[in-house]
Amino acid sequence: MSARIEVTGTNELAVALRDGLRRLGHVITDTEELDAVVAVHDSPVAHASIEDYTDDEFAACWERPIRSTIESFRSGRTRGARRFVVVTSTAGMSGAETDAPIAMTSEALRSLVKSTARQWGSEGRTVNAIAVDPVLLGAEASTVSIAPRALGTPGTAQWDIAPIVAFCCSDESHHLTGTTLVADGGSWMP
Amino acid sequence: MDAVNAPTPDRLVGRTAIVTGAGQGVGRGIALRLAADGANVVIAARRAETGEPVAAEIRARGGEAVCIVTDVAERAPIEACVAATVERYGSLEIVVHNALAGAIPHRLEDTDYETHWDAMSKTSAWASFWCAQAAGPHLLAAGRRGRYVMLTSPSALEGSNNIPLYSPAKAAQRALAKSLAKQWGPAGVTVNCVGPVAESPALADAFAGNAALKTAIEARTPLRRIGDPELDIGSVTSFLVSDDAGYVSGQTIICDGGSFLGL
Repeated sequence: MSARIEVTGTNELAVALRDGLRRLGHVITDTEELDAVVAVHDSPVAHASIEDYTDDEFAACWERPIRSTIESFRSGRTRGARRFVVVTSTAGMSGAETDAPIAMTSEALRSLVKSTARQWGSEGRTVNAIAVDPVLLGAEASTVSIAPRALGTPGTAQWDIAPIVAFCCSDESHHLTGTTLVADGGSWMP
Repeated sequence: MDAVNAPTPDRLVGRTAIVTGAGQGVGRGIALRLAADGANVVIAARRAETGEPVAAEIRARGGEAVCIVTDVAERAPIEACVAATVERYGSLEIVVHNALAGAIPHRLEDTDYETHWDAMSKTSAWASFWCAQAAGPHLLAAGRRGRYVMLTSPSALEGSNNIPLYSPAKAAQRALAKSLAKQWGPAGVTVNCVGPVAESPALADAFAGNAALKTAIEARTPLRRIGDPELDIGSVTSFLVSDDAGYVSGQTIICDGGSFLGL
């Protein structure tokens, strides 16, 4: 069944997810009536150690993506959305030797998902996160220092991640909320 | 004092610790314990009215402490606190960032959510970042004695229905701990989080407004009590910043009497 989905974010992952969701028959929209909001973690990637970040860079990596996600949740709720999905990476769970602020944001988004799920659950709204391989969010493969991917590949947003997003946007996922689906090809196994 | 939680007076001798938010609650308890275990302790409190008495209490017990008024919601006071600490004691081995402001119940759809978020984001994520930048060179110079501990919360892992924006602010610290553990590990520095449930002014206010809350929390806690800042949280923090925990890094130690069992 086709859903009206708003996908926030301007990075490559967001663009690819829009393509993938369209391919699956969903309507990508930013109009008033919505079924689902997909907030894509969109932090600039600096590949820098913590001591090299300026306050402006930290704001871009931390403050803006969090606020953007909160605003997209709030906006989606007023427009009738019942499914809320955050797409981030596993960097929050694993930590990141470089790009620590992006890891902070990733973990904060997963926690925001849990709180929102608890607060809006009585309204029948579900909120979940999908954690993809960090390379899909721009991390250098050499900095992803967790176990090898069981499936051998980080996957692609269009073909591998979009169907999982679509499931979280569907009625079939109505009893799934507050959780993180790790969709990284079997690297991080919490 | 319960013998099982008794101080280890020689454990931290010769080390200097900054504890933010040490004028009350959990921060005060940690400061008291680190001082009892031999550390020079800087009480980094936003207000001298709360910080000075804690420093005086430590000195009255025979420890070494000074209060440096520090508002962690801004970069400059943190940098000044670190500089003054190193000038006074000659080195800085331990930073415990505990301070937090703005954890007030709210709804995510509240129009004034930014009021709550700004205070928590600044004192949690931003302050953790600024502490890392200001203290990092000193902790790295301390090598295997270097310790950075951030006070997070079980809510970071569970989410929070009552204070939804509190949990992401605290979750960010867990990821920073993991990231810095990787970055600073080769120098021997460890970075960890402690997630307490303990008596504090904020909890006292919550109990004042909801008489059944304390009973409810105690009933769902396997140990059937709420933690003591010094005996229960201070002792664990002292362990983490000691040589005994030199091989523990990037972790979150939940100190809540056994309530959260999700790790």
